[in-house]
Order: sequence, then C-alpha cells, then structure tokens
Amino acid sequence: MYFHNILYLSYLMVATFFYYLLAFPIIISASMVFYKGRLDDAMRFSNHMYGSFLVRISWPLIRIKCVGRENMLDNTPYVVVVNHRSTADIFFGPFFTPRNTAVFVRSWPFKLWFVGWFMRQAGYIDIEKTDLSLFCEGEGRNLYKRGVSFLFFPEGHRSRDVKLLPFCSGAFIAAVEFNMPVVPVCMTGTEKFLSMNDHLVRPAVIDIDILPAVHPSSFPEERRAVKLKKHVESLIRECLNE
Amino acid sequence: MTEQEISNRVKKILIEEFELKEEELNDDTSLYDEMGLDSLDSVDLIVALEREFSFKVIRNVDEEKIRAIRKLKDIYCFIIEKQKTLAGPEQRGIIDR
Amino acid sequence: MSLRRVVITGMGAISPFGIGMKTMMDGLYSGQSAVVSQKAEWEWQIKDLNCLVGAPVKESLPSKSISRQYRRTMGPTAVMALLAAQEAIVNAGISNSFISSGRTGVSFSASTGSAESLTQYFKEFFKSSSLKNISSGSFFQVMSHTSAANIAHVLNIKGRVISPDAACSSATQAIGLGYEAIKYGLQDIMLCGGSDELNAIVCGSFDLLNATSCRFNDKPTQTPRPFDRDRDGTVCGEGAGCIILEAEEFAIRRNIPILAEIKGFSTLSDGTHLAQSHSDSIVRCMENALDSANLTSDDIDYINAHATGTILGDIAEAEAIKKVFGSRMVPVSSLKGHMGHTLGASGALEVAASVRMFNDNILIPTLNLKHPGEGCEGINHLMDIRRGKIRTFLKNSFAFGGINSILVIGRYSN
Repeated sequence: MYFHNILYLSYLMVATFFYYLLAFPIIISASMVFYKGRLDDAMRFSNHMYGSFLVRISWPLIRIKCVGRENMLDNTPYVVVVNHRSTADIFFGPFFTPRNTAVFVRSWPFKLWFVGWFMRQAGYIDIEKTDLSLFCEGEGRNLYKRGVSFLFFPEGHRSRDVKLLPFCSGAFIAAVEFNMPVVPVCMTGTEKFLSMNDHLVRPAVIDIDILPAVHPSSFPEERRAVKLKKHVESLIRECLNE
Repeated sequence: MTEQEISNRVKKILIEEFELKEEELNDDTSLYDEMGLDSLDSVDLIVALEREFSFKVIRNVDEEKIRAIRKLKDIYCFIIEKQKTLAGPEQRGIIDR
Repeated sequence: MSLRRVVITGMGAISPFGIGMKTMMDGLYSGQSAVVSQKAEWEWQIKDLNCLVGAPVKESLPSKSISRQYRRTMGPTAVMALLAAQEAIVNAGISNSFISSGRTGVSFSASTGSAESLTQYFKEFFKSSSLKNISSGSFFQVMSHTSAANIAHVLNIKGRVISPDAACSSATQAIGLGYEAIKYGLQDIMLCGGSDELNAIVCGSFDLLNATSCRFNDKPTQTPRPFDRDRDGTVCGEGAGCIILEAEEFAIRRNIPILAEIKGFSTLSDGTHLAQSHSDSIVRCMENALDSANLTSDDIDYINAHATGTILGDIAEAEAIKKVFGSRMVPVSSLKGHMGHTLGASGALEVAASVRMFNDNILIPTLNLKHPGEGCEGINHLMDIRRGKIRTFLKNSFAFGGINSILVIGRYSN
C-alpha cells in the first residue's frame, strides 16, 4: 500500500511538472487575455483546470459519478456549499463549481509551499483571517460584481466520522448580502480516497450530487442567513442519509 | 386525556403542519415571537386543533381565550378547558387526572 | 415628457423541460418534445377526456426551499412564478434595496389562480358544505393574481403590481404593460411574465371546445403540430417565465449586459368572436405593433408564432402573416411543438426562448411540422435550425376572448 501511494504521488508530481511546464503557460496567457489582465481571475481558472486535470488523470483510481449538473447556474455567480470529508475535497471542486470560483478555506493550506502560493495568487480567502463584514463591503462586493462564484465548506473542518458537522454561517451571510443563490452539493467517497486515519490513498468512487439552487429571498428577511443556513444544512443532511 | 398526551398531539401538529423542529418546542416557547407564527398561522392552528381534538371553537364564546394564547402551555390549558366543557360531570374527573 | 427606452436584462424559466433557462434552451436546441402521456394521471379524474397528453414540468419543483411562511399562500402556479422571478433577478443582478425601493414593480399573470388548489378547495367544500377545514392560505393560492401578489410579497416589492389575466395572451400582455409602465416613467424596473399549471380540469376546458389534440395519445411527442396538415388541436403544458424589463439608463448605469430591447407593443381585441381571433383582427394588431415600434414589416426578421396546433387558429395566424408580410417570406416558427401550450406562461417562456435564440443567432424550427396544412402555406415555415443574425422579431399571442397581443423585440444599440 505504501509503495502504491509513493508511486501514485510520484505520478502526480511528474504530471504536475509537465502540466505547469507545457499547459500552464498557454492556459494563463489565454485566460489573462480573456479576463482582461486580471491575474486572480486567470489563476482561479487555471487552478480549476489543474484540479480537473489531476482528477481525470487519476482514473481509474478515482471514478467520478456526478448527478445534478443541470442545477449549476448559467451566467450568474453563486455560492456553492459542500460537505467536507477529506483534505482532497478541494481538488474535486471543478466538478461542481463554475470556472471562476473563489474558495474559502482555513489558514493551514495557505502555509503549504506549492499549493499555498497558487491559492494566494488566485485570491482564495483565508476565513480565519478575514472579517466577513469587511469582506462583504470591500473585496467580496468586487468579486461578486466581476461574476466570481464562492465555494465554502460550511462545516469549517473535516468531519472525522462522516457525520455532518453543524454549519458555520459565513457562506449564507455572503449569499444574503449579495442575493446570490446557494447551490448545495453532497460529496461522498473522498474520505475513502484519502483516509484521514493513515493518510493513504485508495481507489474510490466519488459521488457528487448537485442539488437545486436555494434563493435567499425565499426566506423572510428577519434572520434570513440563519434560516437559509438551516435549510441548506437539512438538504445536505437529507441527501447524505439517502 | 392527560396533559402529556395533549402535549404530544399538539407538538405533532406543529411539527407536521407548521414544519417546526421538535427541539424548539418547549412549554414556555412563545408562539409568535419564538416559533414565528403569525395571524394566518393562528387561524390554521385552530382548524388543526379542532380536527385533532374533535371540538369546535365558537367565535363569540372562545375568542378572548384564543387571543390570550401566547405560549405552548396556553394551548394545552385551552384544550383541557374545552374538553371539560364538552364532557359530562363524570368524565371531567377523568380529564382532571 | 420624453418616452424611455425599455430593455431586457434578465430572464428566468420553469418550462416543461425543467428548471432554468439553460434546461429549456438545451431541450429546444436539441429538438426534443416535452409532451408526455397523461393517461395514468387524468383518466380517473375526468370521464370521457379526449386528450390524454400534456407537457408537465419534468422535474419536481424545489418548493420546500421556499420558507413555509411564504409557501403557504402559494399553489404550484405561484411557486413556479417565484422560482422564475428569482432566476431572472439573479441574472439581472438587481440589488435587494432596489427591488424594494418602490421603483420596481411586477406585471405577472396566470390564466387562473392555482388550478390544483382550486380543485382541493371545492372538493373540501362539496364534501362538508363548510369552509372550516380550508387553510387560511387557500384563497391566496386560488385568487387570479396569486403569481403577481406572491412575487411582490416574497421579494418585498413596493412598486405597482399588475396582473392582467387574459388566458393565452396573459404573459405577453403582462410584458407589454410592464414595458409601458417603464416607457412612461412610472417605474424603473418591472418583473414581467406569466405562469400556469397543467391540470386535468384546464385541459378539459379546451377539450370541451374540441381544441385539444386527441389522435396522438399513444404518440405524445408527435403533438401538437403547429401549422401541420395532420394537426388536430393543442396540448396543454405548464411553467413560468419571467422577463426583467428595465429603463435603458438604469441598465447602462448598472453596467449590466442588455439582452434585447422592447421596441413596441400592441394589444387589441377581435371584437367579433369570443373563442377565436380572425385573421383581420390579427392583421390590425400586427400593424399596430409595428407602428408603435416605428417600424415596418421590412424590419422584421423572425416571427415567433402563437400557433398552438388548432385547425382554425393556425390558419388565421398564417393568413394574417401573409397579409402583413406579403412576399417577404419572414421566417416563422412556433415553440409549442416542443413545449405544448403553456397557457398563461406561454408568452413569457416563448419571449425568453426567442431572446436567447436572437442572442445566439439561431432560429429553432417548429417541431412536428412536416407538411404545412391547407390555409397555412405561403409563409416561410422554419422546419430546420437556421443560423444567422436577426435584427427584430415579433412575438404573437392570441387568446380566448379574442384578445390579441404582440410584442416587437429587437437588438439594443445606443
């Protein structure tokens, strides 16, 4: 098992090397043109492509079953919330988020040497160091106006026993503030792919269920973010229990 | 019918028809402030209680008592009183128990 | 007072293909039919119903995602209307503060209130001769302005709320009246559209008038057949469409993409027949619509027809098109072959689809039109997908009561 993991990790490192040597310059140049010189937009697009690339070249070790893609919204930024079972979750984001999505994560990934740099360049948000209300007034509004979607892991950290942890409110406060629909996503199998017990990788089927969007305006104004949060939490809980 | 039975049946209505959560329903929970019910809901609640407990709310007679209902336990008291009014003297003893 | 230009900045759809604009366009562009058999659902409800096909919304509506406090006054008609309005608002990027500023209004219709809620209402009443067991929200579900009122309530809209209930012309009229409210400076943004449910009783009403398709109960995707020689009537569908209309200067200030411009609108009555508009009245309405847009028939590059697949209705419309457009052979198609007749929603859904086609430079043909029927020839029927830029198109809607409504929609340029 250790040998296979070392082999797989080496394979990913070689693939990453060639990706960044060959594909990255083309992708970043084209997206800098498309996004009119905005580096963070271009890097988010590049990260999206890289994550998708890594998962696809890992077939058949990783097999994706994704339903509900028709629930991904067209032509509008939105908030995606997904349950969190594994450190690898972020790499599956490209299967249920639009190409220009800012990811909200805790501080520790930003400290990783290679990954952290790309996250910072892409303008991912460190939720432990960000004041949400200031964010909504400033950078958040800027991102929203540019059509950037947001990805949150509202449990805050990985669930150790696959049970859904209580949701934090950040995603829903942002959704209410900008009147962005929330698309709930249920993802299972990542905890089997990358086990938190022994940090080893195993073959897994990743089931992704994208649920219909929930609009903040469907809830009365008073305590809207809380009601939205509770409802989305119940949708994801119900989906996971099926 | 004991107060506990009444409580269970009232809570069942609130959970099924008003989509409230069981953990939010305590005897002292305020219907309007905490449970978020409004005037339309109070009309529907009366209809649901009438159906569940087989009594009829008489507008002129019961109006004041209904207006006085603020908390969950007020509903239990109202139902107990209503059932006493409908019951004969022997059965009042059973409800009181 | 100078008249303002009115543009389209957002659209939302719940169609027989499912939830969202993308789902509707994917279905239309791939030439699918959303018509299915309704035999199992309807046969036991109404004896002797001839038409057993319909076009229901394919997916179940996420009604539970609307808080109970709002949902209790909504039947499916209003739920669909709200979902479409929410999608349109998100696409148009309108802030909550502007929505409730009093300068945003609603012009939304349904041909009746919720048919399902109405059926339940009277079932309960006839059972007990009492209204005691009927929930307090029921009236709000069945009232004819349920869609407009519920949208305004949920979205906290304080501007004018109009609900023109004109059967199949409802949504087109709603869009037209919304256009006029902005044009004359009375509102800055209007959420316009229509919604309607599929229900056996509604289909039965058309059935009574011999207006429904009955020969394709075992081949649902082959009906309705607008303009086709084998057409035998319409097929009822359901859905909701919402179009956000906005004053030009607002859209420019908000720096939001403008999808199209409403150039003109006309709604006139036939005046002679309650069930069927004659071609002369349709001609009058078309000419009036073109006048209102300061355009002539030479400026029109596409007509999105009302054509529901009824024998007489399709002929009347074809004749009118021939009279107004003569030898110009403007391309004509009806989307009812794909989605059935979504009644109060049809104007809005078909405007939304047409605006999307217009922006994609693609024209969708009439599904199930193989051979134009007698009286329907002599116009340029689209029977294959056509690509090319169009400047301006007409959206026709004709309704029971002889109510004709036509919108003129074109490219925006400042």
